[in-house]
Parts: sequence; C-alpha cells; structure tokens
Amino acid sequence: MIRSIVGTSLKLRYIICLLAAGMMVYGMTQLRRMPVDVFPEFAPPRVEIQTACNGLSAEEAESFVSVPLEQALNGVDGLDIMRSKSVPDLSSIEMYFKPGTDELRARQLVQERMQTVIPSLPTWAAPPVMMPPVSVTGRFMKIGISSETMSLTDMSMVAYWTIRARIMQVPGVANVAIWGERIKLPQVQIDPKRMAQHNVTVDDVMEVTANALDVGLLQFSQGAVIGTGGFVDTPNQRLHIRPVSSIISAAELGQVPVHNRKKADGTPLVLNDVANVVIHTWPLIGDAVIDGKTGLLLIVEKYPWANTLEATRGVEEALREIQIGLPGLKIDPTIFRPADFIEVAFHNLQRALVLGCILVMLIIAAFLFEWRTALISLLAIPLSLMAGVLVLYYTGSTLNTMILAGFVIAIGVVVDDAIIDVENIVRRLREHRKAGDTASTARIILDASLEVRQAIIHATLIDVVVLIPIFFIGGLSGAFFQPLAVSYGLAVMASMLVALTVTPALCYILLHNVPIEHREPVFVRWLHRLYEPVLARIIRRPAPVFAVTAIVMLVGFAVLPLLGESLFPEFKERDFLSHCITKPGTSVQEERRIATQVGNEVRAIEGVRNFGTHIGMALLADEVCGVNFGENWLSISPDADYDETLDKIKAVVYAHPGLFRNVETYLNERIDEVLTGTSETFVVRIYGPDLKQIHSLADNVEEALKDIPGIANLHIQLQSEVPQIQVVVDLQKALKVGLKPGDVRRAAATLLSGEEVGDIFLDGKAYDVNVWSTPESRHSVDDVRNLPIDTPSGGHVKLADVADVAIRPAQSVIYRENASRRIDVSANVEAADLGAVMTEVQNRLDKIKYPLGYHAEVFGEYAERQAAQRRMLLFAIGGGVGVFLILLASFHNTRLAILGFLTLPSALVGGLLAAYFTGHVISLGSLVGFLTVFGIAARNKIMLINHYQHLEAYEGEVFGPRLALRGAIERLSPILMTALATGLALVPLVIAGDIPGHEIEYPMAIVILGGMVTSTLLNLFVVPSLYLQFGASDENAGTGTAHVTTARVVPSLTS
Amino acid sequence: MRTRHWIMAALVAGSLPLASCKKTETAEEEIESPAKVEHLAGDQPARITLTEDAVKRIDLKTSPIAEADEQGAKTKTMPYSALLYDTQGDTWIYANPQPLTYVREHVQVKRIDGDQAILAQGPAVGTQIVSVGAAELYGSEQEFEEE
Repeated sequence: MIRSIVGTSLKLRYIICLLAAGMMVYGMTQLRRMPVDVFPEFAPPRVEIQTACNGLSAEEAESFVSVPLEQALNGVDGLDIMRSKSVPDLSSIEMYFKPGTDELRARQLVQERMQTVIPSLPTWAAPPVMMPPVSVTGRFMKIGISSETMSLTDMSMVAYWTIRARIMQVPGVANVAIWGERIKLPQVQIDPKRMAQHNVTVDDVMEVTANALDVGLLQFSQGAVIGTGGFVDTPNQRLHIRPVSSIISAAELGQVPVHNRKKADGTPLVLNDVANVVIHTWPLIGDAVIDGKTGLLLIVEKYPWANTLEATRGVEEALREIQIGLPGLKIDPTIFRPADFIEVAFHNLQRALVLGCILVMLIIAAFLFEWRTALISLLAIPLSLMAGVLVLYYTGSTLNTMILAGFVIAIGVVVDDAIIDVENIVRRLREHRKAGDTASTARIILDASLEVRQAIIHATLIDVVVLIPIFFIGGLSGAFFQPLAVSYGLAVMASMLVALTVTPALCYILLHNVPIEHREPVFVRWLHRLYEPVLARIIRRPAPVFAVTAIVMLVGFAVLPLLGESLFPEFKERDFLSHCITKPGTSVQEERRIATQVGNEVRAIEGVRNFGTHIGMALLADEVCGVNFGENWLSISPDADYDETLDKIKAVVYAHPGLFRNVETYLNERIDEVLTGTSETFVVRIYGPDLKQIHSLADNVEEALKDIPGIANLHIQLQSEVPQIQVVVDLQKALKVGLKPGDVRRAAATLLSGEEVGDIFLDGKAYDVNVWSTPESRHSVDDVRNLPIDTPSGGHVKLADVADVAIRPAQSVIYRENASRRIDVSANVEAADLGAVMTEVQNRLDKIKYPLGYHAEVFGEYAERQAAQRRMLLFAIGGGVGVFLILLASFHNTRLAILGFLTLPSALVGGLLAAYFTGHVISLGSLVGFLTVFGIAARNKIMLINHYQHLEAYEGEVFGPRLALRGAIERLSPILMTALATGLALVPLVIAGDIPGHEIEYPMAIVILGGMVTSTLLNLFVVPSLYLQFGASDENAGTGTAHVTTARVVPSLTS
Repeated sequence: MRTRHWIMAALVAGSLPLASCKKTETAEEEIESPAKVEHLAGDQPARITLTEDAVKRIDLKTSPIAEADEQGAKTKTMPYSALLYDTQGDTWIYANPQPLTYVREHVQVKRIDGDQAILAQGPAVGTQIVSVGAAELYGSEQEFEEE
C-alpha cells in the first residue's frame, strides 16, 4: 500500500505540489483567525446562576433563594456537582457538568428548570440570572475609570449606559462588570424625627412617592396602574395624546404633597418636609479604588471560544472611539491585559522558530552539500505542522501552550522524517549514478523511500504508543494535558503523510536531471575520516566504552530522585493580583482605606505601571464575597527587572498586619482554583441541614482521626462568624400596640434597607426611585433600637419596645454542596503508605454515628491521583509491552528486540543530567523534552539496526566488525544531521533564557540538548559494538553466511 | 582513548558534590512578620505587638479617652472609629499601653453621638486607644480564611 502511495505521488507530482502549496496558503490565512490563548479550556462545563437579593443576610439568601433554586435544579441531565455560596445580598449557584457535556445544551436545560421555580421566589429578590458562559481564564481586560471633574454617580451613569454598552458590542465579549458603580437614583430619604413630628407614616411616604410617578412599583397602590394616553378622533384626523411626565428631578419630587395634609402654618405638607429628596445611589455592595482614590473598575470577560487578542484589540479600539466624547474621564485599559503576555510569548517563540529554521537549513545544506535537498527538507517541516494546525482549527480548538508543546515534541519526528527520506534518496541517487546505473530516477526514489519508510513506521508507532498514557491521566489534569498528546499525534501523522507524498514528488521534480553525483559532500567526508578510526578501535575493544556508559547511566538515574517536580508551568506574566482581605465583618470604608493604603505604597515601587483595586461585589460579576474582600491588580512595565520588582511588591504586601494577603499571577490563580482544589491530601466532608450539628460532628471526626499515625495538620474548616444585629419581634409587646411581626419587619426594612417604589424614564434611561432613610438615622446599633415603627392607631413606637434587638453571631458566607450544608475536616498524610492510612481513616469514620440526614464523604486529590497513577501504570506497562512487540516486528530477532528495549531509556540520561544542573526540577517542559529525545533516539536506533540487517540481507555484508563499521558510517550522516538540526534549532531558545513565552520551551530545550548529546554518542559509539555482541541473527550464528538476493555490487563510501 | 576516560570520570566525580541545593525560601518567610500575637492565660484577650514599620503601613492612629459632661454627670467619650463589636455583642477597643503594644479592652457604650461614642464604662480618661486601624488589629488576633 505504501508503495502505491509513493508511486502515485511520483506520477502525480505536480498536482501534489500544487495541493501542498494551496494548503500552506490557505493555512496562513486561517491561522490569523484562530483563537490564541495561554491555556486550553481545561475546566468542565459550568453554569452559574446569580440572584441579587439586596438587604438579605447570608442565611436568608440561603433559605429563601439558594435552597429553592437548588431543589429545582437538582438532577439536570449531565450535572456532576452543584455548589452554592450565599453571602449578604447575593446567592450564587454553580453547576458543574460532566466533561464532554455540550455547554449550550446544558444551559438550555437549566434555563427551563429555572422558569419553573422563579414564580415562587420572594419578590424582594431580583429574578435569578444565568451568567454568560465565560472561559476558564475569563477575565481578559480591566479598565480603570477616574475623573477629576465628574462625580462618582455621573461617572457610573456614563460607564453603564455608554462605555459598557459599547464594549458589549465587541465580538468575543461575554460580560462587563462595573465595580464601584453608583447609579443615580432619585431618593426620598425619610427623616424619622420630622416624620414623627408631622404624624406621617412610612407607608404614607411610600404610597405618595409611588403614586406621584408615572410608573409605580408598589403592587397594590394606585401607581401600579400606568395611565395611558389615548387618542381623539376628529372627522379628519386621529390625534394621539401623550402625557409628559413633569417629575423628572429630585427637586420636583420633593414638592409632591403628602395626602392633603397641612403644616402648622397652613401651607401644604410636602415630601421635602418629612424627608430629604436627593440624588443618591443604592446601598453599596462593593467599591473600586483607582490611582489612590475611589473610582470605577470595569472587568471584561470573554466567551470560551473567543480570541483573546482580537477581543482585546476590539475593546481598545472601542474605548479610543468613546474617549473623544468623554474629555473629563480618564480611561485606563492597561491595568490588566493578558494579551500582553500572549503577544510577547508568541513574538519570542516566532523569533526562536525563525532563527532555528535558518540554522536547520544551514545544517542540511552543509551535510548534503546541495541547496535543493536542503530546500526539500525545509519545506517538509512547515507542511506537516500546518496540516496538524488546520485539523485542530477545524475541531474548534484554541492555539495554546499545550498544543504548541505537542508540536514541539513532534518537531524532532518531523525534522527527522524530512531528513532521513531526503538523505537516503540523495545517497542512493549518487550511488546509482556514479555506478552508471540506468535505472530511472523515479524508480530509485521509490526504492529509497520505501527502504526508509518501512523501518520508520515502526519507530513512529513507538513514539505514538509512548504518548498514549497521557490520554488516561483523567480528571482535570488530563483535560489540561490532552491537547498536547492530540497535537503530537496529528503532527506525526501529517509528517508521515508528507514524507510519503510531497517529499518524493519534490525530490523527483528538483533532482531529476541534476548532476548531483558530481558534488561530493566535503564536510561529510571529513567527518567520516574522523569517525572511522575511532569507531574501529571501539569495536575492537568495546569493554571500556561499555563500562563508561554503564557509569553514566547509573549517575543519571541516581540523579532522578533528587529532582523536584513542578508539573504546571509558572508563567512569567507581568500582571499580578494581590489579595487584601480584612477580617469578615469589616466595613467597606475600612477595607477601602486599607486597600488604598496598600495601593499607594505599591504604586510607589519603581517598575509598577498600573494599579487598580476592586472591593466586594458588583452587579452580574464573578466575585461572590463580602465587602471585606479586596483584590488588587497591578502590572509591571516591560523594562523593569521581573524578579526584583516582584520581591519588592511582596515585601510591601506582606508588611501589613491583620490582613489575608498574597501575590500571584492570574494564570496560577486559575490553575490553583480549578485544578488543584484543596491543597490537603484528603478531606472529610460532612453534609447535613443544621450548621451547629455538622459542626459538632466535625468535632467528633477530628477527635476520631487525630491520633492516626501519619496524619498531619488535621483541622476543621474555619467558619467565619460575624456580629449580626438580630431583630426578634416580641409577640406580646407587639400585640399591645396592635402590630404584627410582618408590619414591624416591613417598616424596619424600608427605613434600614430601602425600597424601590417606581421609575422615572428620561432620555432612554430608566432611573429607579427609592425610599430610604437619612444616613444619620441608621448610624449605630442604638439607631436601630430607636427606629420609629408606625402603629395602626397612628402613633409610633420604638423598635426596641416591640422587639428584642441584639447582636448575635452569624455566618458571613454559607457554602452548600449537592443541596446540603457542609463542613470540611482536612488533613495531610505524611506517611509512606497512603493506602494503609486511608483504610484506617475509613474504618474510624465508619464507627461514628450520624443522625438521620447527615453523612460524611471522603474526598481527596489522593483518590484521584492514585486512580490516575494506577491507570497510567497499567497503560505504561501495556505501552512497554507494545514497544517491545513493535521492536520485535521490526528486527525479527528476540535478542535485538530486548537489546533495543533496554537501551532506549539510556538516551534520556543526558536529559536528566542537564535538568539536574540547570534547575533541579522536572517541569512540564522537561517532560516534553524527554519525550522528544526518546522519539528521536528510538528512530535512530531502529534505523541503524535495520540498516545493518538490510546490509546483511541485501548487500552481501557478512556479519562481523566490517558490517558494524560500514553500517554505522553510512548512518553517521543522517544521525548527525538530525541531532544537529534538532539541537541547533533549539540553541536560540537556550540562549534567550527563561523569558516570557519560553517557560515550557526553555527547560525543554535544555533537556533535549543534553539528551541528544548522550543518545547520539550512544548510537554512534556503543550500539555498533552492542550489535556485534548480541545481534547475530539465528541463521547467521556460527555459519557466517548471509542470504544474498541481489548481485549488485555497491562501492563503499569509505574508499 | 585514555583522555576520554579521564573526562568521563571527572564528570562523574564533579557531579557528586553539587548534589546539595536548597530551595530558596519563600518571600513570606524572609520578611519579618509585622505582627506578633501573644495569647495570655485564661480569658484575657491577646497582646499584639506590631513592628514600627507595620504601624506606619496601616496608618494606625491613636487618641486619648476624653472626659465629657453629660447632664451634670461626668462620662468618657472616644471616637466611634475605635469601637469593635464581637459576635456576642460585646464592645471592645484596643488600648495602647506601651509603644507598639496593643491590648483589647472591654467598654460599655451608652450611646453614639455623631462620630463620638459616649461610654458608660471603659478605660481611664487619658488612656491612648486606637482610633484608626482597630479592624486590622482585630484581624491579627484571630486567624481567618480567604473564603
């Protein structure tokens, strides 16, 4: 079959070349549109539902909103885990679906379920909103807005109606959240003292306000009916009537009379007499600090399928357009711009690739001494990679670092493929032409290709088999690394296809009538002259070389346990985030004060370019937290020294007491959050309805587990309690004045939390109108106690007269999982035998009695890791067996197969030593390097041994030292070419060092260089001797004759 | 041939002494902790010692407990910003008995008047108490999670 493919390609050579050229051109245009990002989408499909419930405490948000929603959403098709987080003013439910679920279909199903439960939710909660689908690294831009001249409310209106609306139009933008937003609201701030003075009730004020507006929101007030206009029909015309609202500002609203009442001096009582009617804003759930003062921070998020670079440029252009019309506003889009990192990374990679390509071309030209062959080899490389990329593009994948890493591993194979084919074709062409052979060029090319191809298929199979375990890592780590295996497989197959079709075709076209036999590769002859005597001596006395090899191998494997492990790459992004969290329960003013303080200090550090802080929550945003939570975002300028500036930043941040603080990059934070979860070895999660009960069960669990040997750092999850003012109506006291608890609650709610009573529509915008109280009347706990509550008889009582107002502990955040409250008891295991410890843990847990409705489950990385490790071990063993069988099929000789199998890992020794001397860590990049070296070493070894067998079988060489010498010399050129081409292509990467974009490529290049040194030395100097010792085929052993099939006499190249 | 042997041997010998290589300490360990909390015996609240740098960083300010005249009776007043509530509703302030040392002390509030708190019970008049930065001291005392 292969023969027919190559044959057809030779016949249709021009068509093949046209197709290849067409594919390259097409690929170049498509590549521009391919979304580029740092990470693959490794998180499982996720749907988040947020319900804003302004004024509700965490427990009420949980019981009134989270619980009914969870009950309705449980059991949606494909749902894996459902978690919820309830904080004051917000309920957030996260639904994680099984990997592979279609995200859009999942959203559809969730939406349908939500419709069934929305009517039953309390009316003071806004309708639940399904958050737009966002990428796992969803935040791709942060924009700081500040102004010297505009007020915060004016800024907020512009930000929401103009800036946000414009940015949402940019393709790829999923959501824009505004921190620090203070929407303009006309607000009727009731002054309880003046209200009591004039004998007006809270209900009066609310009703009057709602009725005064065209659109009132109070359901049972007159204002709920919107008066329409109607029309008048004259005999000739129909004239429509439109009432134009005359209340468009707070001043006018303040003049509205209150129920026909009169003041002491006879003038009508108006709203201004009992309240301050002002332009104000809603109760703050968060804030933002830009450049040292309160401002707005816009966070832009993208869809999972969006192209970060394109979306970033789109948003920047939109902002440039808008800025012209907003002179008083300072818009800073550079606070956080991950596109910077991507641009720098790809620029660096491109530069390294171009330099590498030039070096490869030089190598090939030097060895083959014929520019045409160098060109053919060089063309094969991008063709293979482009084919792989196109396939990925059509499967909807993003171009990310994992895919690039897969291609990079494949480069070894691709380069090798390109070289060995061409080298063998050229060599055979030269041989035949010098011998005066009249065989057609096409036939020579065909035979030469097949000679190489049959051997190389086995080597390629080995490379693929080695990578199969990656598909079985499973879990989220598997999703992270799978694109690597996929892109590698694609590149390898594409390379094989190119070697079977395009390379022979090009060779034929370019070398058809070219007298290449007249050009001798001078450089190669010189190498042969150097190599032959050394090898001859080694073949005569192999023992010392064997000894040295064994020692080096031992050293290499001894080094292995000394190397650390750090599998997830740490990217040198120049954007950082630093948490600045005060104790839960802290006020927004204090959080703002300390965040501004930290911000001013960090901004003073040389090299820090931008700084923006967001505190608490924003509407439709991705943070679910209290106002004590602050995140600082800063970026370092490109010319500042990375490590030095980072150290200075850490020094400043960690110098503040009393805060939870850290400094990390966004990418690392995302990895931590999604992939690693808890850092402890295992977690005992206790589920149940009552918090106190599960707390005491957690105590029982801790008691039971604490003396198991090997357990360390056993602790119960800290449940943060905050002081909360609890108001419990005393029924007897309330009865005495004719009040019902509901009345008390509603009255207190309006005064303490505010109530929206209507809307004003103006210039295409809707302004909520709000009834609240003056800030002075809710300034302290005593103010709550003294809150006047209207009684049915027309008087007032103080809240403390009818209710118990006291401070009690409360949860500031309530977590639920799979529709139940939960608490975690976690620990690390520091014993060698993880399995035995976990069995003991399980035994002890089984002995604990749980009341009805409570249970415990054990989770842990360990379980997944163990399962994954067992799986991988199984497949690794299977892979090893597979490799052995492939070697057997290739060599047809058991002893050779065993020999080949045992010497394969030794090629990696150089890589291990190189990794040891430059960083002591095995990282993802090193692993990629090992795989590349392994691939090349396997191919070279198989090619060499197959060549020996070929010489024996087809060219009449007798098994012996001469065979070993000749075979090795003939393979010297391609082995060295591949080694030098691959090695030198990586030199630019090594010289550039550990710069952005090279986090994976740099350690990989080091390992590959080290590995290539040892594997090449091994192949050139040790394998020939080994072959002599062990490679005697069963037929040859003792007889010394070989089966000759052709009578062709081929002159040796060493004459 | 001999030279190659020596080169190999030298490589092997040279790699052994380079075996030790400590990981660099993380920045957190290198930086001196800004607050030191000593938990005293019994029910007494902890004693917090800050470094001078830490005090500057959080811009901690103190003011003395003042005397006030309330309808003839003498009462104490202090800034409202010094007041902290615990989960049981008890009220506290941070006293500053020695430079850089802070101890939580109990107070009883009669009422709040604007930005002043009128105390029914509290430390002696003239005691320096923390009026800005009390929240950070409270945060140093007890561990809390990132949430």
